[in-house]
Amino acid sequence: MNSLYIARESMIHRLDPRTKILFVLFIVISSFLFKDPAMQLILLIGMFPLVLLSKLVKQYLMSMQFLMLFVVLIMTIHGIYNPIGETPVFEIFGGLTFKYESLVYASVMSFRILVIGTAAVIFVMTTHPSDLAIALMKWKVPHSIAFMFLSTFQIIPIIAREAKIVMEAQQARCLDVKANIFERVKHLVPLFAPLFIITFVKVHQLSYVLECRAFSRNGVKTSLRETKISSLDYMFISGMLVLLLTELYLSFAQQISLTTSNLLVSSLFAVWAVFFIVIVKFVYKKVSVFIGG
Amino acid sequence: MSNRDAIVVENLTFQYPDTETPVLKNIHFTLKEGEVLGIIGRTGSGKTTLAMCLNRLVPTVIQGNLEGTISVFGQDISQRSVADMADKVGFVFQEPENQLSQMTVEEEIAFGMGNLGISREEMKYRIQETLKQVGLEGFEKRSPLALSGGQQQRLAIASVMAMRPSIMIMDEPTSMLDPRGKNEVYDVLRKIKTYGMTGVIIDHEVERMASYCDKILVLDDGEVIMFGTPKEVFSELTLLHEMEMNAPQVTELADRLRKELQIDVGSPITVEEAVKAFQIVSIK
Amino acid sequence: MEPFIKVTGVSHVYPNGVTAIQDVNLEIGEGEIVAVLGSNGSGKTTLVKHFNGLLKPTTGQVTVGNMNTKKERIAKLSSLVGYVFQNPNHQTFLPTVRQELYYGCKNLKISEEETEKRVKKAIELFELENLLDANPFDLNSSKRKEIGMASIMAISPKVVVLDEPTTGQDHKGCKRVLELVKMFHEHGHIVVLVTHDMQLIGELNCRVVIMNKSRKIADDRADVVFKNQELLKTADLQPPQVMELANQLTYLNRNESYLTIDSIVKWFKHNKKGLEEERKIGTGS
Repeated sequence: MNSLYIARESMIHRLDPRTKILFVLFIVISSFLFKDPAMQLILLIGMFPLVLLSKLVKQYLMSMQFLMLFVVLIMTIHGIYNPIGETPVFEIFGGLTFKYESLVYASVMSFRILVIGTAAVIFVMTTHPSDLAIALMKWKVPHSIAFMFLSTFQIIPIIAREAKIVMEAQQARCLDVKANIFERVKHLVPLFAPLFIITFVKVHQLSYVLECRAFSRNGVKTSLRETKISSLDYMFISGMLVLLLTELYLSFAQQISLTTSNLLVSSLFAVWAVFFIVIVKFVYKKVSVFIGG
Repeated sequence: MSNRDAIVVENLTFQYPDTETPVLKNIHFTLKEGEVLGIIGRTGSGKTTLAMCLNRLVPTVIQGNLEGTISVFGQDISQRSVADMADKVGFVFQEPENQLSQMTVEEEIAFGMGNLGISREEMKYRIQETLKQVGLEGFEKRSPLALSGGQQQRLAIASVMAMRPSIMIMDEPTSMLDPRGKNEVYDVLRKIKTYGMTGVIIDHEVERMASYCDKILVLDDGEVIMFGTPKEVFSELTLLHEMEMNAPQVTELADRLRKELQIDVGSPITVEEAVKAFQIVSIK
Repeated sequence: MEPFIKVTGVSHVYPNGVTAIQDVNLEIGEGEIVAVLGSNGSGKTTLVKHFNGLLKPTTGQVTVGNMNTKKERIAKLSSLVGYVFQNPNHQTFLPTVRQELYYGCKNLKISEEETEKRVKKAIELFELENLLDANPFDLNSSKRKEIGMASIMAISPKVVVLDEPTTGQDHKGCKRVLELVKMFHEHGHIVVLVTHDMQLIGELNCRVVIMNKSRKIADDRADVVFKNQELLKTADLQPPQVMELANQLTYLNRNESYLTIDSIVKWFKHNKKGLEEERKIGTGS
């Protein structure tokens, strides 16, 4: 796998990368407009149909697991210890009290992570890097910057593989990579110096190759892949515009607050429950591998 | 075959900025259209620098002081840039993997064409054409990184061929490959003449060069020591040995039989020639 | 005597589920030169990486000098089995040749006296007296590869594994590799070559192990193995050019293998008299 992109035949995949960039921006703005956890939750749930449409539910859930770790930590620690909290909501194991204000703060922060994370994951998993480069060029981003963006995707797996070879090559010179932590810090040089040299050589040679492929030639450039703004994109963009205006109205004119302490407590429990499931799954996997041999 | 001159090099001297002596010294040679030239020489003799002069990588990207003239199909190239030359002189490098920059095989081939501004329709046609020429049909959507070395190098060749250059330069295109990859790549290279291309190849494997090239140029310390047909060049064994170089094994064998046992089988340079020559062994 | 390296029923499955080698048995004893051949992906690199513990067998067992590689640290095994990587850039990175030579022994934390002894030996072996203060990156590619080798030999390992030592080298470089392999052999090292270079193997006429599709399909002296043309074809190996010629000259002794120019010259030397009488030799019988 070269990047996080996963090919599917879906409406979301067909959207122009520029539309999807706007979408990510829209979500980020929306998420910061609302200081109300309930609205964040609505945003999060509101995006789930898009995940369904992109046919990447499983992959999406997998990538969210990692974010859950942050969410659990933030919800729990801030909920208890954040000094802005005054009104106790409920108490666990004698003395540790979750307070309303702290929970509001913590859940806005954690839901925001999930909301923006979801938008980013949808974007990255449904957008082909080459299309992104082309789209950027249509926005008058210089050719070379768009290419750099693209080649970064390409070079990461190569560097990862080279890093493994360097590791082995240095072990063959009796470098003990499993030594104590102080030793290991010292070992960063023999691992990174060769990796740096090798990457440098590769990039240098690639620059010659690109020249030989007429990279810096003036004139019109063409592309094999087609990216076109279609009626679907216009619909999507208009939809976002309408929603954005509504959100602005709601957040400034109305000052709505749907949040109740019940909602907060149930979110907290829900987050714990999800995290617990993730942990159980993880342990189960490890154990079954161990037992399976 | 036409008699046009594809490459004419005259008085070519090149020196890197931080060195005291030139890497290329007063080089002359002419290559006809449709011929394949092999450049041989020790490591550090200036082979790659010479090859890079032909598409202007030297001195425009790799800088230094260049004197003399190079003409490609009658045109002086001294004012051209590498990107400018790309659809006339293609360049295949040694490391297959370092020549790949795109996500899929078809995009890799399309990349050069895109820089030339070739239409999408034409791109699609040429992608199919070149994939067939290098024997990679059906690989369009694959990731270049998932291919074997031989396949990657053939992809690099296809990417160059899609730009339709009339001259193809290959700098040790098979030295990093295993025997299977070497054969795959040489099978493709053997065909470039039938596509009307002129070739320049650098390689250490003299056995392959002897049967593949029309002309051989021997470079030592930046100077042309010999230039001629493989037969002419590889017959000069004493000279080659002085430069710590070798001729194909069969030529070396024939030479030793003549010197040590006075058995004369001529100077075969390929296995086929040698088999014929050894069928009738005459003793002087 | 126990073989120094003993591979018993070894299979290796990578984490991605690919079986790289399957049920391989191999013994390498004192004073041997062994060439491991096979195309890329045949499992030859996977096999030799078991010798210094870079890889551990999924099933089966590898012992090196009576140590089970599963139970030993790679750093310790590497002091017995030196592994010279194909690309010196992966291994060498220090600013002077001298530092490169000391580096391995420093990692091993052996006494200063012993370190000096080992490094001195490597300097003599590779004739590096005048190059000690040179920066390896200023040297040409052949010489840099040699520095890579020297820096491993300075650890003074019992076994040395050379991964593609002649790839990308010119004639002079290839001849130097041949010389070095013979020298390591004379100094009592076991040499394991991973290579595609059939001329090199022809010249050494050493023991050859051929890997194909993750299995060992041949293990014998080069002159015996190379007689089997079917086998070479299966493993995508091209014999040296002189051997291709010899295969087509029916008057040569069919019981012999002609791996080198020398071997054919020798045949003509022995049969010159007969040739003079006949004056002519047909290809038919």
